[in-house]
Amino acid sequence: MDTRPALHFDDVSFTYDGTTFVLDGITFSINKGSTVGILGGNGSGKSTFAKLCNALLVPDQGCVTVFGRHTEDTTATYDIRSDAGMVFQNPDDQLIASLIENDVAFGPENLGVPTNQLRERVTEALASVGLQGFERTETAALSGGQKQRVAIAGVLAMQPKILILDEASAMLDPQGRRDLLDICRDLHQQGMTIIMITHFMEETLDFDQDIVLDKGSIALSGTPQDVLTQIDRLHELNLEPPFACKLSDALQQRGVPVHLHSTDAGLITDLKKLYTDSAQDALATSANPSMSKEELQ
Amino acid sequence: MIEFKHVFYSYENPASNTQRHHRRSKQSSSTAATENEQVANATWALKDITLTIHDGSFVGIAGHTGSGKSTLIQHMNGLIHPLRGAVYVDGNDIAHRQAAIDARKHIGLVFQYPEHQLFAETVHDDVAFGPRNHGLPADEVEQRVAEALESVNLDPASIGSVSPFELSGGQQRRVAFAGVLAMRPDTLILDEPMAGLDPAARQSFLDLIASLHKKRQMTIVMVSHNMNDLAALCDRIVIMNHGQIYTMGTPEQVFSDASSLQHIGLDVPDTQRFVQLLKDQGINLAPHLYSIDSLADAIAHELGAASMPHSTRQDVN
Amino acid sequence: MQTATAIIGQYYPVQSVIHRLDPRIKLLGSIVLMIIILCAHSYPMLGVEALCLLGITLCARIPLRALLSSIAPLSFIIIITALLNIFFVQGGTIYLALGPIIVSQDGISAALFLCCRLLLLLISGSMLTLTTTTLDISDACETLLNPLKRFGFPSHECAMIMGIALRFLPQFIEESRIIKDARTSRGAESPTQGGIKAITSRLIPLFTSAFRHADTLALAMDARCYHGGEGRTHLSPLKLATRDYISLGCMAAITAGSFLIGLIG
Repeated sequence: MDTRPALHFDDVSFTYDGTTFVLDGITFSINKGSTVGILGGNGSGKSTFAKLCNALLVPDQGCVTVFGRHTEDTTATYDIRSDAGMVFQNPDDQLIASLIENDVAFGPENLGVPTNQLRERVTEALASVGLQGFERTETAALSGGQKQRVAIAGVLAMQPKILILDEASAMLDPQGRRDLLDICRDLHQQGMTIIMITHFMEETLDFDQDIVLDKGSIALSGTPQDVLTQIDRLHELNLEPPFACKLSDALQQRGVPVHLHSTDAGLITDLKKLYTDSAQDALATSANPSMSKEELQ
Repeated sequence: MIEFKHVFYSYENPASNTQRHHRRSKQSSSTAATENEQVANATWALKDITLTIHDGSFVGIAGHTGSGKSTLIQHMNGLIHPLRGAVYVDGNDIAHRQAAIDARKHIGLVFQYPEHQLFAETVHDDVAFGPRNHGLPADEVEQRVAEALESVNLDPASIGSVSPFELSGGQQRRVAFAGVLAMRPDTLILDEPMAGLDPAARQSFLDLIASLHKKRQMTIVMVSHNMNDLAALCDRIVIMNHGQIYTMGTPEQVFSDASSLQHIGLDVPDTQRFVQLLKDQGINLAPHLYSIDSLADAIAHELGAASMPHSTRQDVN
Repeated sequence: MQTATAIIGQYYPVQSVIHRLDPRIKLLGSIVLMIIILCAHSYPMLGVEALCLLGITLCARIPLRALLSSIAPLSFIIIITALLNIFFVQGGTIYLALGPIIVSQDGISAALFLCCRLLLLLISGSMLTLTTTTLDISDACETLLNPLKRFGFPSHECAMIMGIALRFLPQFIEESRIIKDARTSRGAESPTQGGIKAITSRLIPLFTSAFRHADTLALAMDARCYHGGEGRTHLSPLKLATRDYISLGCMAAITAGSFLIGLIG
């Protein structure tokens, strides 16, 4: 059993120009098999963060380790990149080949996987993203959502342990976004570590951990329920709190005794309870009119 | 006013590009039978669209990818022409070349990711492209550029001489937007204007569009996936599916039935989704279109009502 | 990407004998065909090549319409060449003389011949891209150029560059259409209006978008462990099958036949 953290940032700083730090002294760990949302507005440093995860960039200070391997170690670069696969934002820019099977095979081909195993990997990877039978389809003929699924399949064919999605849903329509999240959920159930970089907070509601970046530092960190219910702080950070949180806040202001919830389900449970309680109260009071008068006053 | 009358369009028909010149002559010569055959055989990107966009209205268009939204808006300023049917702008059929050119002078079309079309050496020159194409005198061009940049909250004096490629993504989009506003359109057609922006930039863009509609009485046609935005801003919403109008009406009419939209893979506004969830739990709210505040009011009222129905019951007692 | 008809550089996905041929054979074949067509100096010789191409088109199960629309964007080359020939080749009966413009019999016949030749050239070129995926073409290039590696020729890199160029071609065509539409919407009435300046200003957004694509693509390739051709395996390594040898034989026969006809005619 591998007990090393899947990803570990130890006091990591990074600068493109030597003066302004895009990331400034970040320390945290991501456990194997967990789901983590990295949130932040534009310029928070979240894209740089993504590139540091799989040695596309190496930190200027501190160190990043993927399953114990240092990203500075150039001999480990390809091991790290095949362990920590990455899907980018623009579906049109990351597909390399014109035919789906060739694109999915691109990663393992680079890793030197023998030809007789390649076919199997392509078939498996496409099945995991629900595109079985699309091997010989042109990538140009796909919708944005389908292209992102091919991109995920291309990463899966390298048999990674971590999947990093760098705003991978930002350019998709609602259906494409839902499909992407469903695939991530499935992969997580099979043991994949998921790191989702996004500014749509709703996407990380059922995650294990959320980390909010602001100007290169960690502004908030914790479970989605803890992080996503800090309405005022999120607004300060140019982020939009999830709907359930805004509604529970509005209800609290109206004196409805609900907790601040990040998910619809949580808020519904609260409301359902209040509703049945109050209905029972109503029954009880109507059976006992004298009490209700007191209550009314 | 933009009117669609029984508009059909297909990308597959090789005649579609040259069709503009032939449509009239064909109409008289071809028999009804062959036309019906045409209708049956082609894969239509748009199929029998009849729709009116009134001056001063804010119309939202939604539908999943490939439902015909983009094709629909390209018809609105004559970039493409119907294969059958016609599009009228202020009563003129814009299948005519001159009518299309005139229509483009007052119907501005902002494409998806408009910042990808920036080309000039300076912000000023890029914004001036439209007015210059219309042959306006230099001082008028200057005035319009300044006005357009100001209306997207950019300072013409400081940003005018900068290269658009040095700006941030959000600023670039503002410049591109100003390039369309500089033509002083009375109608703006926006194809997913907020796509790819972060929440802060989204909100300021949304405010900008809302203020153009309110303060300048601009007619706005906005394609968007975000039903919360559409519900909050539009006075009419058109839902497209498979090249046809799936449903059309006020936000209240369109969003009152959440399940029929979810059925074709679309979102509904968060508030409506929540009303549906409450309903599943036996908490029934009146079928309105809610904002967060009005929904909170309604829930508070409903809970209050459940605990305080005493007066009526006491009367019965 | 809503056009169903093929455009130049785009693969036409059907199952056929030609599609299944080894891409090296197809690449060689189209090069040979192009050379023969370039060498052809008589109509009979062009006729033979036209018949060959017709045969290949039928075998490849590519509808004539798709074939024609795939070369349509390049038809301006044919038209320009024809006009140049009509105006600059003189001799024989003069049909029309308007000041410096003289249209003569030789001019017209030269133009006609060149048009046919160019048309066949374009068709043989697009036949390759219609029946062969871009990655296959670049793989074929790579293996065919491999012998040159000994002299330091970067055959893998060249093939990769070509594959990517072909992969992005449909996308750039789509993007240039959007740029054109956006400019039309801003009152630019015809694409040719405004001369060189208008053309460069249409190219700038195309180039910036190319650089943007390149940036991400490079990252995406790095992220998927791309490190050149060294130690790379292939999903479908190129292997010659019986049909490839047969088509090699056919090619040799066609070449010999063409030159024989050329000698006789």
